Amino acid sequence: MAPGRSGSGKKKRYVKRDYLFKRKKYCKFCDSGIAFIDYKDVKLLSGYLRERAKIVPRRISGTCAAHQRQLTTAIKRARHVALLPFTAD
Amino acid sequence: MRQFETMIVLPPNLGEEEMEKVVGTVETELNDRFGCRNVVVNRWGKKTLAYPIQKFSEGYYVLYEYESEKGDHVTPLQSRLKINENVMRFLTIRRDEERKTEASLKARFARRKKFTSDGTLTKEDETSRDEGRD
Repeated sequence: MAPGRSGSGKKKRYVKRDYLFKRKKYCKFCDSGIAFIDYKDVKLLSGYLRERAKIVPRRISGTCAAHQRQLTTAIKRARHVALLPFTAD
Repeated sequence: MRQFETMIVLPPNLGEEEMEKVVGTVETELNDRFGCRNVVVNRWGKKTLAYPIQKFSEGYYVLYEYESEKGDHVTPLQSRLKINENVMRFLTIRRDEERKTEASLKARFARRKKFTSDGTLTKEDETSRDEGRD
């Protein structure tokens, strides 16, 4: 084998794993027809916080861009008036 | 005409009288000093805070909904609230700006089959959705 080469010399190919079941993500706000996200709706907003009270990213929750923008401002407003925590300890 | 919402959080240890005084002064200021219209005072009462403020774990929430010609009352109102020692937190938002985005989203909904033209869910879909998922 030539020096500086290891293995078979072939590039290892990574195959994207095929999941048996993969639930399609969808924007829950679009689905249920919520056009306005109120910062006073603590029950709704708290569902979009992780354990450490961080905002759940779009790639996890599947929320669409327009709704995610509304959601983040709503959560931040709610945090300011102590309706939601900044952090959980 | 612009629509506004102001929320204030008061400390829980204020007496009945003092509480009314603060809530009342903000209301009269909105009405008389700043010339706002349709002032609606909404008392939420004592609520547990998500985090302690000034070592209090509870707060007395009051929400004002009102209309104003321009937004020029916001800065003076906020500086007055800032000076007031009996106000722990305050937040003013413009509701009409948000009604705009609300309307554009509703218009987007209306283009889809499952929604009616005014952007609300159709009745049949509400039931079929429950059966279809999960």
